[in-house]
Amino acid sequence: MTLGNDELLKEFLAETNEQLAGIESDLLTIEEGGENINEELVNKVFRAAHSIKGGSSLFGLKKIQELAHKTESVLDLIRSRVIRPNPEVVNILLISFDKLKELLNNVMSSNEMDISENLVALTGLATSFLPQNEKGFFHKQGVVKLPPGASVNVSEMDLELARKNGHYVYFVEYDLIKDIDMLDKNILDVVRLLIAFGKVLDAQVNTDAIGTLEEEPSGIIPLHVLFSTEVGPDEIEMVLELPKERIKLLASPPKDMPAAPPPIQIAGLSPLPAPAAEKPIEARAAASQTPGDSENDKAKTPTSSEPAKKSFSDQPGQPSTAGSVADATLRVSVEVLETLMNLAGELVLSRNQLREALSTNDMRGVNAGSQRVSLVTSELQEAIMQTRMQPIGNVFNKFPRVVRDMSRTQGKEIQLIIEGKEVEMDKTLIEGLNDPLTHMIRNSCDHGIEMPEERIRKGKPPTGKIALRAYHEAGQVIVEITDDGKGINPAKISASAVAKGLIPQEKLLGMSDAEKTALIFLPGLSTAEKVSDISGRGVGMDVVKSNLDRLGGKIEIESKIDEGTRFCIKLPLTLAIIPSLVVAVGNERFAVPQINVLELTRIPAAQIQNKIEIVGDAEVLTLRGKLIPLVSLGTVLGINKEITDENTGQTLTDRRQSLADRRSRRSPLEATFAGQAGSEPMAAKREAITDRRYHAINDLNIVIISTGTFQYGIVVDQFFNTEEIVVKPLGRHLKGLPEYAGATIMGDGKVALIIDVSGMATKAGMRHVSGSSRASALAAETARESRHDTMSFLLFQNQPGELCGIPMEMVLRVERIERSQIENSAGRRTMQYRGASLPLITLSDAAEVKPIGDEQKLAVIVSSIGGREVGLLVAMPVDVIETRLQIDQKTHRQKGISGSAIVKDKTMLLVDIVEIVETVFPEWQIAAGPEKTAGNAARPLILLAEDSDFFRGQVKRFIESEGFAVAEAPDGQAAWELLCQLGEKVKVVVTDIEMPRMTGLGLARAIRAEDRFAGLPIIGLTSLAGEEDIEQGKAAGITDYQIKLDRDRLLESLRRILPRAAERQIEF
Amino acid sequence: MTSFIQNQQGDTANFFVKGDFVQSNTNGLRQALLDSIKNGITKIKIDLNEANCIDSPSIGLLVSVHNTLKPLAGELVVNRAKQPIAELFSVLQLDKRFTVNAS
Amino acid sequence: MEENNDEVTQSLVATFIVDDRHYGLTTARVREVVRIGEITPVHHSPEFILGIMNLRGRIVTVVDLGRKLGRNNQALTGHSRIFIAEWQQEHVGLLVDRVGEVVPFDETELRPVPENMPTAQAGMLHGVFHSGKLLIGLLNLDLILDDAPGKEDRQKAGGE
Repeated sequence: MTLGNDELLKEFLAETNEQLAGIESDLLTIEEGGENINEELVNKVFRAAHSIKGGSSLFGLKKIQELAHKTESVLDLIRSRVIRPNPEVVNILLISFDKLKELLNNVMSSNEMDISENLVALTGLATSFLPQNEKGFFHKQGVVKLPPGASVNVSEMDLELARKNGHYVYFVEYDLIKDIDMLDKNILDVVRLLIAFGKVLDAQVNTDAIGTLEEEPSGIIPLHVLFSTEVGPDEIEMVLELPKERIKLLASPPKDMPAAPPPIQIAGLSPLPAPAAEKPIEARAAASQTPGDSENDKAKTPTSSEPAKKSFSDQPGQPSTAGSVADATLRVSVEVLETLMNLAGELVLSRNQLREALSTNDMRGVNAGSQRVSLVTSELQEAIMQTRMQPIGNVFNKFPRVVRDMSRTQGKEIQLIIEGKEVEMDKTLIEGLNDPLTHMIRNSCDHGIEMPEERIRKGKPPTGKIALRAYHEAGQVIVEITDDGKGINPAKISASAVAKGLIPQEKLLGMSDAEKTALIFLPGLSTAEKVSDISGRGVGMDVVKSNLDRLGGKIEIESKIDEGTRFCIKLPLTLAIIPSLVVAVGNERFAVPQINVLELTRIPAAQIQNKIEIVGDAEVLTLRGKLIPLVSLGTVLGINKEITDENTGQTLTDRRQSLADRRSRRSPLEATFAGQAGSEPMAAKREAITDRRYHAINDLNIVIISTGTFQYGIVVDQFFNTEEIVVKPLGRHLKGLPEYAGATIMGDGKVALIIDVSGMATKAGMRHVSGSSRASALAAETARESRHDTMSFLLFQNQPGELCGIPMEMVLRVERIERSQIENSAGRRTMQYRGASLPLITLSDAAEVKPIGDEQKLAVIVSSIGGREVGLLVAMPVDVIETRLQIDQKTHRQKGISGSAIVKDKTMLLVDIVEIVETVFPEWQIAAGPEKTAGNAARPLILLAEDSDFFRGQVKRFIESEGFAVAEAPDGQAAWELLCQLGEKVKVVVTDIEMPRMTGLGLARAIRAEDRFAGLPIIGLTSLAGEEDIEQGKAAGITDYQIKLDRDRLLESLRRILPRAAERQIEF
Repeated sequence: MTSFIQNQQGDTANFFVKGDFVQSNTNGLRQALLDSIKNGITKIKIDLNEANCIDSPSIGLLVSVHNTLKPLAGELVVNRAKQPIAELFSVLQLDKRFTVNAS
Repeated sequence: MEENNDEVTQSLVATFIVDDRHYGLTTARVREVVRIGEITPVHHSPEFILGIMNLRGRIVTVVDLGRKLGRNNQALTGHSRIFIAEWQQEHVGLLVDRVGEVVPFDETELRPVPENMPTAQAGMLHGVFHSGKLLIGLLNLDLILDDAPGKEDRQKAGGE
């Protein structure tokens, strides 16, 4: 007996096991029902017998097949209400299923086992209920009245059954050559089609009509088929795609028989596992595709929309793994089907359009038409992909039972929590997840969750919890299995690995606990001692991993002894087509998934110095106030670039290391303190124009990428178009490489690698973001925090070597001046500036620092304080940097100096210009005293919420310098409380966004929720104002968004808002 | 690249089809089969281990071989047919004419 | 239907030449043999991988057999070919210097690797057998292609 493929057999056995599991109780329930036949239940049992029959025939399990067949026949008779399921009948069925189980458990010897008793009993059942004249049919194989020359055989019983089921029986004559081969069809598909639409009662190839080898190959290969189907005579031609003469109707169902609703079967696609029993028809009804049955409406649970649509109640569930030719159904939702039909219609229209335009040489029409075709094709693709998307609940739904059974057999108490049942994934992924998830859930039950007594001893609740969660994240689907059991012991695992010779002892020394735990995925480590009885094969975590690998997924493990274990599976969202940007480095092409691409930008060669900085060892791009770290794809991958020298025409290997090529704006301090006092770093070093490198600098093409948690830019040589590419997985040896997400075949047949943006970032040594969502959240937080403190500073000198800086926002203008311009009168320094007298101050006026030396070149930084312009005298060189700083507010704190920071290994003193002004011109009365905080129409009160002391101080300064009063709070919560205290006195709220305890958004929402604060303007301050931030802010109730320390705009905003607020007050 | 590999042991000829069992892939197979039989072969074994697909002319070819061997009291055996093909033979009841061993 | 025991031990082996030595692979494992086409390099891939190629829509990893069998410099000639082999449910390409004949092979004829064969090659074979006057090394695909992490360590650990 050829059992053939071991794998398939084992899967078949597993499936049948599952189906037979509940049969007993089902049959008993049916018995209880008596006359009120529970159709659904009978169908379920029928299906079980039916699929066992089908599957066993493939494996040559003859006895099983026969027994299943006879059992199925009896069930069919019950279903068609010919036999009543009384205790005697049910008894025989129970015994038959018991026998089937026995046969299946002894599969290898099943063909030698004796089933005659059961057969007799079943046959007796069937025949005893038939009217006398039909009894003989059960056995008689006869030749039915067929056209002359036909040679098919069928039993009368089969014919009768067919008719009783509302089937028509046809005799079909195919010519394999004429009807199949010459029409470019395939015999396999034709047979599949037949099986999909009904039942092949018999089929005979007329071998006599085919000659011998010596003769010419026969031009005809006749095939006669006896075919039973629900398809009526008016549609049969269309369905079979054969002319009428080849099809003869032999039998029709009785006229008064309601036809069973036809299932939608799309050949070539695989079946959906039956949906969970609790929710019968989850809005997935069949569209009425077979017109013949429109008057019969066996609609079960009507779906939300169309009552005319039929239900699937009789759809036999096909085991997807029996490996039969009839492996071909899919449930498709009505909406998707309608979309598909509409799109098909559109496609036809567009095609007609195109054709017309082409025939009249109408180029515009051709363009329009082809665009439309393009669009519709994409939508069609998407809609078809949708049919493959299924909810992961289909896999999840079997686990409650698994867990219940296992916990019962083991005497443990386990609760299973399932989240994310509705998350959809491609069908193949869902099917592929089945085994790995089953294995891991069983593991959790087996080895994870402890016995209740043990749990209590450990201080845990006696009921163990297993959580199965699915969710989307950054273009992937994440499936987590978490248990609160005893966890995995890294020491044990590593010891086991060494003992099995999988790793040498020495390797352990360098390994962390997490790495040791991950050893569980090593092949050979965790093979179970006994073969699992669910899937019938030895399983280990390595099999799980390799299953997942094959799907393109990854798995990670986290575990703590006595606390529990979490497995995290990451899978790509779809297997197939994604739009991607094609780029090139040298003559190699790469694809970057569109979902990760934020924008494309090109920096002209001349602007490279301005826009690209070197901060730390990274190169960063300044883009609309944001700092984007850059990575050169060629450098990361080690591709040598070739550049054609314009002058010499030679091709050279580009040896530039740094994108900015050392001539961008570095921290000017380097140049400054390298002993080049007095030089001007703002002007680039002028190399000779004929310098080869200068010419060879091209514009930089940069792709700005988002990994979902942070952004960076990839520098490439060229951009091409965005194309829809088919993602193909890389082989085993290459799929582990983090930089690549797969490969694709371009239009010209060449292969291009697809970049994995997270992996590429890690490879380029960027801030670590891959890993668990917690790490990502942390990274995002850190990103946010540092965004927080990113500022622009104007740098200048006091004494030579004394580096100072003030925030750019305080700076109106910078002017270089000559000493002669300074006028001294009555102890005050001024100079003529724009037709007025500009008061001048300097750091040494307030702080304990030496005054500027006489030999130093001077500059004046013009600022507006308290509505008046003032000039801060400083020494050259003056430069600007944009960077994150840690501001130390203690060490150097004194009047005029608000703090310090380290910039390129030098200390920069943060000059507080307002304080200097207060010191030199106390009469200007800049600062608001505490009594003034009470607020009145002349000095409106502004509530300022900001957690960074430094920023809060700065912003407070600006606002006060304009004559407003400020009440300050260090976080959202405190601001809220203060606001509630001060009530209407507060005219405007100015708040930072990222704050502890309550964020700016939280504060805004709280304010908006209260009527008494209706209309209170809220200005949000941030270092960045990305689109999403603004949207979010507006949604929370923020009136206006400002860049932090953009003093002018803030003040302008305040001035604009406040008169209105003042009005409000007066209205009271 | 040959589409089938042939060898001979005594009165049996083995034909190993490389790839799908379709007309376009089996050039010369018919002639080779005929030649073998003319040279006295009475048992033909055709190995379909690498075939995922079969077409009508190839089915006709198998039947021709069977028809040729039968009067000579010879035998045709199809070996290692993969599931869809094996089932096809079963549905068409060809496995009642000559031996089909599934993979 | 008579029993066919002879099928079990008899099979066919496709032979080829790498670095002037003859090797073979059971035809059951060989899908086809193709000429060298465009091979796209994969930066950061292991040394013995030449790159990937497009085989009728499938991405196939191409392995430099020469490197695996101990040779350090690969030289592509007009006779070089790629054997497409089936391994662990994927197709892998093996670059060889020259294609040889398909020879019959009886399992009972397989001999252990000779003592004087260098480990680089010996470690990759099931064994050797004679075909006519030639000595053919029967390649063990798993040994050649298996690159599970820790494999070398395992080999080291196992070898001690």
